[in-house]
Amino acid sequence: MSAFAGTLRLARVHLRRDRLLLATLIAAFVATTALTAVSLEDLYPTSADRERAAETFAQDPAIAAIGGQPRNLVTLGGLVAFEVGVTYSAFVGLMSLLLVGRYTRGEEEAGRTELILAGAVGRRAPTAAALVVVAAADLAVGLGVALALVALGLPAAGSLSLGAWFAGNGILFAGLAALTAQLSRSKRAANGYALAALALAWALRAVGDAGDGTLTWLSPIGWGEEMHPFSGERWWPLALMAAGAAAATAGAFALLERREVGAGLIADRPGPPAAPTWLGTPTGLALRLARPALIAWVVGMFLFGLVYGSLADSIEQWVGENEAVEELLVGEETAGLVDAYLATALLILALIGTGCGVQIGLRPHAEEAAGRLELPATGAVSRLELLGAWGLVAALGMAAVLGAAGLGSGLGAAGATGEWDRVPNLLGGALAYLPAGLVMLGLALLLVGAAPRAAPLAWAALVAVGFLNTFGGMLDLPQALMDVSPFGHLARLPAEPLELGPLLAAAALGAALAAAGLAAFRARDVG
Amino acid sequence: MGARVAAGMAAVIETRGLIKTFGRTRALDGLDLRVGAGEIHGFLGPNGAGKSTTIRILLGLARADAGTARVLGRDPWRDAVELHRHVAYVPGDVNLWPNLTGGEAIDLLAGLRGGIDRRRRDELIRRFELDPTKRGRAYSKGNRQKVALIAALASDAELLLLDEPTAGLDPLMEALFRELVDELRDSGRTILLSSHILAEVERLCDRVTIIRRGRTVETGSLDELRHLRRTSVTAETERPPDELARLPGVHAAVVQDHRIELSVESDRLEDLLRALTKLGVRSLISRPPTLEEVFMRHYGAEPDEVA
Repeated sequence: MSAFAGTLRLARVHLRRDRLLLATLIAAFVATTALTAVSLEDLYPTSADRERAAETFAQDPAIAAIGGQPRNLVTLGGLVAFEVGVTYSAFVGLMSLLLVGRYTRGEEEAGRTELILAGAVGRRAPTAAALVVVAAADLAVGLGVALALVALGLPAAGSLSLGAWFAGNGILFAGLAALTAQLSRSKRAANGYALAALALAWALRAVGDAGDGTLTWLSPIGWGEEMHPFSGERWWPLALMAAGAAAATAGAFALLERREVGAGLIADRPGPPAAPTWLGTPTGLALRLARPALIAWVVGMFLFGLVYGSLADSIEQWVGENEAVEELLVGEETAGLVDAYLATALLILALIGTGCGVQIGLRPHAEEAAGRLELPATGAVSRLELLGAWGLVAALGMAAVLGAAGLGSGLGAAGATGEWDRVPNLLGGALAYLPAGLVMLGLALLLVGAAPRAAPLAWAALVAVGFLNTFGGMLDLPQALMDVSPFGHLARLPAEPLELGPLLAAAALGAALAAAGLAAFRARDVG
Repeated sequence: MGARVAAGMAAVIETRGLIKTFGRTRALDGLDLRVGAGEIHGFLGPNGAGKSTTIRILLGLARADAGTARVLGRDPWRDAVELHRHVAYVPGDVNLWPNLTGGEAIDLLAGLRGGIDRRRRDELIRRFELDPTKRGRAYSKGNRQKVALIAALASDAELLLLDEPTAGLDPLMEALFRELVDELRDSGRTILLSSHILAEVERLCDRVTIIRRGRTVETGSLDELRHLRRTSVTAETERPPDELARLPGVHAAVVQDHRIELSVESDRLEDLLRALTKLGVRSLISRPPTLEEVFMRHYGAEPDEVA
C-alpha cells in the first residue's frame, strides 16, 4: 500500500514532538477519573448512602441534560459512570479532534506536509499517521481508565466498558476531524467544523436524555451511554462507534484524493484588493482576525443556551408528576428547582463561553509564534496598544458570547414556560459571570506577556476551574481548593441573589492580571 | 561611487558596542554600525552573523544587553512608536495573515505606520505585478516579499531597513527593486540593506559593513574595501618567474613554466610590476578584487586577520 508508505515513521515524529503533551493529557484523564471514584466512595460509603443519592438524581431531566442518564446509581460504578461518562467522553473527543487538526491541517498550513510528501512518503501517510497517534492516545486513555478503576476494586466489565466508551468516542471524533481537515485550507476552520459536530453530538444527547431518549441515539456520546457501563454492559454500541469512525476515515481519504496538497475542497475566493481604514489599527486587526471564531462562538453558544433553556419546562412537569420528589425536597418550591437548574446551566454555559476569551486572549501568542506579530510591531503603535487590542477584543467578545448564551437560554426557557421575564433574568445572569471570565482572560494575557512558552497553561487553568465548579461540589473537595476558582465566588444567578462585591473583586483581579501581562510584554523582545 | 561616500554626514544609524545574548549564544558581541544620511549601506555577513538581530534592535523589537543604539537620533527601544513613523521595514521572512488578501495586508501595515500614498501604492502593485485580491496563504514566498516591499516602499519613511528584501524575487523583479532603490536614493532616503546577493550590494550600495560572529570586521566604501585587499595578477614572462613568489606581499602564487598566477597586496603592486618588467612581460592581466573576494576572506577558511 504505497499510499500509506512512511505512516509509522511520521507517527513516531508526532509522538516524539508531543510526548510530554500526550502523556499529560492521558495522565489527566486517568488520574481525575480515579480521583472521582475515590471521592465518590468516601462520599457514599454505604449502599444506603448511594440509594439516597440515586433517589435524588433519578429521573431528574435537568440532571440528565447536564450529566447524562443516571443508571444503577446504587453501585459505586454506576455513580462513577454517571459522574464522568458523558463529560469525559466529550473531552476525549475534543482532545482527539484538536490533535488530529494539529497533525494534519496544522502541519499542512505550516508547509511541512509538502516537504514530507516530496520524500518517499505516501499521499495518505500524514493523515494516517495522525489517526494512528491519536487512536493510540485514545486507547491509552481508555485502557488507563479501565485499569485504574479495576485497581480501585470496581467490576472489570464495567471499567472496561467505560474505558471503551472514551476510546471509541475519541477515535470517532478523530476520524471526523480527519474528514473536516480536508474541507478548508485553514486549521482553525477545520477545527471549527469538527467542534460544531461535537457540540451537536452533545446537544442531541442532552435533549434526548432529558426527554424520551430518542435523540440520544443520534449522538455518538449517546451510544456510549447506551453501553450501560456498570449496569448490565452492552457491547454492541461499540460497533456503531467503529462504523462511524471507519466511515469518517474512508470519507477523509476519498476527499484527500480530490484535492491538492495545501489546498482545501472549499476553494478560496478572491478577496478585497484594499482594506478599510479601521483595519490599519491594532484593534481593527485583532477584530478582523478574531471575527470568524467570534461569530462561531456567538451562534454556537446561543444555540447551546436555547437547548438548555428550553429544558426548563421538563423540570416543572417532572416535579408536578412526581409527588415523591416533591416530598423529598420539602421547603423548595417548583420555581426554586427550575431556578436551580437554570443556575447550573448558566454556570456551565459561562465556563464554556470563557473559552472564547481564553482563545482570543492567547491569539497574540499564536500570531507571534507564526511570525506575524513582528511587522505590526514595527508600526507606529505601542506595545500596550498591540497586546491591549487583543485583550479588548477578547473581553468584548466574551461579553457577546455570554450575552448570546444568556439570551438563548432566556428565550428557550421563556418559550418553554411562557415566563418572558426569564429573558432579561437569564441574560443578566449570564453576563454576571463576565468578571470571572475576565480573570481567566487576564491570566492568558499575563502568560502571553510574561511567559509566552507557557501560554497554553491558560487552557489548563480553565479546564481545572471548570472541573472544580462542576465536579467539585459533588466530590466534596476541600473549600480551600474550591476557592481557587473565580467562578465559585460569584452568586449563582438566578437561584441566588446578586452580590456586587465578588463581581467587583473578580473584575479588579482580572484587570490586575492583564495589566501585569501588558507590563511584561512591554519589557521583553517581540517577534 | 566614491563621490557619494557619506563619511562626514550626520549619522542616521549609530550603534556602539551592541551586545545581545540568547541563552548561551552571543548573537552580537560589541557590534558597531554607522550609516550616514542619504546613504545606501550594505550590511553583509554569513548566516547567523547577527544581521537580523541588529536590525531587530534598531527597530526596538529587541533590546540590547549592552551598548548604545541611536536611530534618527532616537533610542529605538524607548522611542519605538515615534521612530516607527519614519522607518519602514521589510523582514527576510515575510509571514502574512492566511485569510487576509495582499491588498488588505499592504493597507493594514501602512495604516499601522500612519498612512500611505495611495497612488504610489497602486503604482507599485502594478509594477510588481502583484494580484492584491489573493489571500495570504495562497502567495508564494516571492509574492509575500512583494507585499512587504510595496508596504515599505509606498510609505514616506526616511529610513528603510531591508533584511534580504529580494530573497524569493525573480530576476525581473530584482531588477525592478534595483530601479526603485535608485529612485529612493535620488529622493534622499537612507537604506540599510542586508543581503547575500553580492552583485546587488556592489551595484546599489555606497558603503558596506561586514560583520562576523556579532562583530564588525570591515566597514567603509567599496573602493576603500577593495583597496585594502589584494589584486589578482596573471602574467607570462620571458624568464621563469619563480622569484616573484618570494616577493613581500605576494600570496598564493602558482607557477607553471613561464606563467604565474598570484595575488598581491594592493600597496605592493608597484614592487611587483617593477620585478615583472625585469623578467620581461609577454602578457599581463590584472584584476581588482571583487566584493566576493573581499568577502570570502571574512567568510571563508582563511584566518581572520582583521579582528
